[in-house]
Amino acid sequence: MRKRFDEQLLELNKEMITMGSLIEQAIENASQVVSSRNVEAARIVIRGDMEIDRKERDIESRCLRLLLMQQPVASDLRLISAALKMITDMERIGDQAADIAEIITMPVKGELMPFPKHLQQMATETARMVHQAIDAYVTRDAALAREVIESDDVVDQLFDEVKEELLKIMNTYIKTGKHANGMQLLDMLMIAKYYERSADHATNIAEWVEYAVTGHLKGELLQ
Amino acid sequence: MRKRIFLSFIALIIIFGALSSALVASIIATVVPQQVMIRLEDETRLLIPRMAESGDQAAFDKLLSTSRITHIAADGTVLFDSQSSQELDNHADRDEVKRAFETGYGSAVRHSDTLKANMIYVATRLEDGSVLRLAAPERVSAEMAGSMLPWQIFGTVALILFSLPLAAVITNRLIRPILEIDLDSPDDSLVYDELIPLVRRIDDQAKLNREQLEALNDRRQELDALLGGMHEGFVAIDRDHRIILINHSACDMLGIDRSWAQGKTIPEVNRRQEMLSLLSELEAQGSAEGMMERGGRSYVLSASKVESGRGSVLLISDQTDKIEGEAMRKRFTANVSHELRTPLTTISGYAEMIEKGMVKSADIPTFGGIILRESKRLLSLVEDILRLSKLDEGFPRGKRDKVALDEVAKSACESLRPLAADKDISLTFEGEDTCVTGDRTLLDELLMNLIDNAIKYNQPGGRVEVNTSNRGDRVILTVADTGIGIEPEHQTRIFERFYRSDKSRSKATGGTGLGLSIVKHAAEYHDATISLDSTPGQGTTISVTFPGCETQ
Repeated sequence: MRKRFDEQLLELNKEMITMGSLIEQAIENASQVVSSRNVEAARIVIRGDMEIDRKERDIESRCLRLLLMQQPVASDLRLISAALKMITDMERIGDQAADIAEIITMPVKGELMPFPKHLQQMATETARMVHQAIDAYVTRDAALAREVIESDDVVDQLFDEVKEELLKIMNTYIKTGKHANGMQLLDMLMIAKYYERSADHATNIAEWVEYAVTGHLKGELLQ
Repeated sequence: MRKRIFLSFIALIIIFGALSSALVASIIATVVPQQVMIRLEDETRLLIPRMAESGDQAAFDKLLSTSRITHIAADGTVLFDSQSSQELDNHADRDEVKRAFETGYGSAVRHSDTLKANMIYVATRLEDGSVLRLAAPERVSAEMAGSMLPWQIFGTVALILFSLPLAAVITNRLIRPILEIDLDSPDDSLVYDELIPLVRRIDDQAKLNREQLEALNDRRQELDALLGGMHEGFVAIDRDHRIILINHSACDMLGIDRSWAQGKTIPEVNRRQEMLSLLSELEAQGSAEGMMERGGRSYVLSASKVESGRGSVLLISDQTDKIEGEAMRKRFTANVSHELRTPLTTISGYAEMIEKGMVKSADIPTFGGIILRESKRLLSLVEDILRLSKLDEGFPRGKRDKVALDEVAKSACESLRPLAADKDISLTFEGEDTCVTGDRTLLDELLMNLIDNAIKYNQPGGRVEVNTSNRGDRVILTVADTGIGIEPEHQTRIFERFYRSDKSRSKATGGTGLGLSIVKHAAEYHDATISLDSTPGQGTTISVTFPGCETQ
């Protein structure tokens, strides 16, 4: 019985890593799409989201089956319930990546404006956070998870800076009296927001990893 | 074992104790009635003379016996009974009495109707034919046996108490030699002969195990050395994709720590999509191939299940150079065809116009000139390509001479001086006597190409300075110009074939785009290194550092 359970846990772990890999790829590809404005690549990211959704449902039913049939306790229970929560965040990251890619596929009217400096940095930082959160899960590394949780502030700060930058661009357009492409500026703001949300989800994943390893969620002992 | 021996001892002692007690009890049970009978007989012997003297009652009183005395007449009537005053019935039918009448003596143990108890009887015939019978209750014998019982119980308990430590001591003495056997050198400590085969067997087995372990270790070290020396990454995984064995190259390629990776599954170690799809393909088809990019290098992954089906082997090889080489070759082929076609198109175009008579005869020399120029260009292109492919194949290494580099440089300058003069460029040579080991033709080509480039990409009124110098055991050749210079982004690529910093590939300069490539190959042939120092708009200095003659 226990052997079978162990096998099922191993399977679950494999599936989780696969899903983690998918969202890592998605968020990385999304930031590449942003810098290259490659519409074809953007479509691939959007299509990839379907597979992430499928994986989520698959893992969800796997977790529920394990909970019902094996009635796990202690660390096994923590691991499975954390997985159940994590996939929701993972799936959301996949959605954000697809949303970012979708913005790029939209035809741009008028003059093409350069992206704010800090946007690329946000993309890199967010992708790194997602990667580290998945790494923390794979290696069951609570310290790494903590690092991810703490680096969420960096992305939040970058988001503020991107907003400032966009505001400045708008102001210069207003001053010079030139016709600004407002839609593009809004899209850029949306992309920045999606990154910021993705970073939040990565933080959530890291929190669940921490819970699975230590039993503490946001510093509180859950039993 | 100790417990078992101990318990066996205890059980044995208890069984023997119980058996001996039973034996004693049964002996007592038979001996005591006999003793009683003997007493009764003794009493009878004492009684008989007294009875003759003073009658039954008086004799009995004198004896002070507890026994019951009965005097029975020859016809069976009871004449006297010490314990019954009533008239008793005829006693002739009693066993002991009957036997006493017949043989003179009779004894019996039976139930007495008179006393309502089991009695022991001894009857003796007297001289007058009457019978004197003495009886004692059987109870007496039971009492005698009973008086011995406490002693028996005491004995048994004492036996057990005494046997406990004794059994423990004996058990220990039996066990100790077995415990003290030194399995590493069993012959020294052996006490029991019966254990010899067992110990021998253990000893043999231990030796065998040691040998096998050593052999296994050797094999492992061999394998480690083999895998460690491998350039390719090697990973052995089990059915769950858990890493059994991984070599250093694989760890470097995957960017992981070797001791950490041991026992981890592949997805835990590397979860790139390329790797995951490789694994699922491996499961589905038994073997899989894939590509993976990491840290700017390209790796080819190839996995296949081992025959027993208990795991798989994953090989990772770094194919960056091969892939880049392929890309370069592809670029080269495309460039060659393009470069060859351009002059040919011109030639065939003008030739066709002349053939069709569309050209005025006055213009024919001009057109002929164009055709001639393009043909020459084509020719020099083909020559350059041939030279390069010869260099690619590898120049025969054997024929190396000592060449005075300064002389080669001087003659190259001389032959290019008219060209420089045409462009109003001053060409100067200055140099020490220098000597390198190599091929004169190749060195000449190297210098011609470098100086030619320096003149071509120069500004009118510019300068070209060629210099050779000895620096320790090195020989340095520099060609400096005051030309247009090379933009930093082109500097790493100008030695590639057909690469030109001038994207429009202007025909004005008339180069083939292969000059610097030839220079690079020629330098490589001479084990020389090229360094480039260029500032756009100010000029370029190319230095070639050769090993001197003495060092070769």
